[in-house]
Amino acid sequence: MADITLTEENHILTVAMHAPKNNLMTGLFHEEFEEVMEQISRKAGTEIHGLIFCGNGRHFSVGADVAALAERAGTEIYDDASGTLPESHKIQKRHFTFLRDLPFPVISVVTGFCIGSGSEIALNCHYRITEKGARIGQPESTFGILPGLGGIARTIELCGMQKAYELVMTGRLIPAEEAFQIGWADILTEKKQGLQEAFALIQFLHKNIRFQPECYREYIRLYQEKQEAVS
Amino acid sequence: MKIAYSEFVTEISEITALEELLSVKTGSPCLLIVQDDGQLTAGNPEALHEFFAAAPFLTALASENPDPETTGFFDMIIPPQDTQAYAAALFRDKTPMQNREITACFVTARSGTAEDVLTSESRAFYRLVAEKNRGDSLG
Repeated sequence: MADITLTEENHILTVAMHAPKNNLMTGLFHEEFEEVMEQISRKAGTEIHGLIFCGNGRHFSVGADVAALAERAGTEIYDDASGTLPESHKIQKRHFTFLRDLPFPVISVVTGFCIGSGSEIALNCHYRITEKGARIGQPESTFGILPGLGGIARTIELCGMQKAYELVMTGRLIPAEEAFQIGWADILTEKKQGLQEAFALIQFLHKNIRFQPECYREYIRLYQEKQEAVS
Repeated sequence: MKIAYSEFVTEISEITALEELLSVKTGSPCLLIVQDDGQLTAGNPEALHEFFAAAPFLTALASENPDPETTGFFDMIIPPQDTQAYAAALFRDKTPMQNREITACFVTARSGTAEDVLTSESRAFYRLVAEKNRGDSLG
């Protein structure tokens, strides 16, 4: 069975990650991830109501195999004088950043560890539903590097300059509650409630708005206001 | 005015107006901290906007009760106590190059687009990988 599966049911796509070692993002993981992202991009013009990312086990993803990452990146040709990035990196990064441009809501249901490149999957989604018990962070700085797949840009957008700087510079892992407080997470749920919440969010958005990806932050506020009115 | 320089931080205290920063030698920090004793005013807004927008470092106002007139210039607002401990937590356990490369991405974010920051982080990533693979990094 593949480590990353894409299913479609009732117009909702689900990407379930069940790779070894808590979805450690090895070279093989990235290959499969990119294939699945290509399949998703072909769905952009069809009648899809939403896309959900989740870890199939306890953890969303513990992030990249850092040693393998540094070794691979070290063999790629980067011309610092011209700033020309390796084509392989541009392709890989595009498979993360394109998620924001999809014409339907893209949601990560974050459970357990959501770290490094794993966190960058979630950050490049429109929304993050985080279950209590999750721990989130960008510890790349503790390995001699930095988040290079949108981790800096997206954390700044969601959490502001100060919180993003503190997170990226310290590499500190934060609990789900703090992620919600600082704007990293849009919705905080009890354990095992994240998927249900993701389906509810997709249904709400499909029923009430015509999704334009550039307005994604406005839509989540509508949902949050509705939740507050109900509770 | 008092100025304290360290490798990654310049901290300025005992100033009464932000305008005084315009004639200060800030050095080449990653983070400029300005202490607000509660009396801090702004000054020439145009010149200050230019100074802060173009600053090649991040800026933090260390203030208990920041005044809206001054806060808008800064990237961060931090408590006035233990600024050195705050800065130490940010910059420790990383190479000087890491501290500067990561900071540069955030400086780009101040006035750049999301695309600019995405590109900046990619380039910085490869420069840091090169440093790491040379064996210069701590990681």
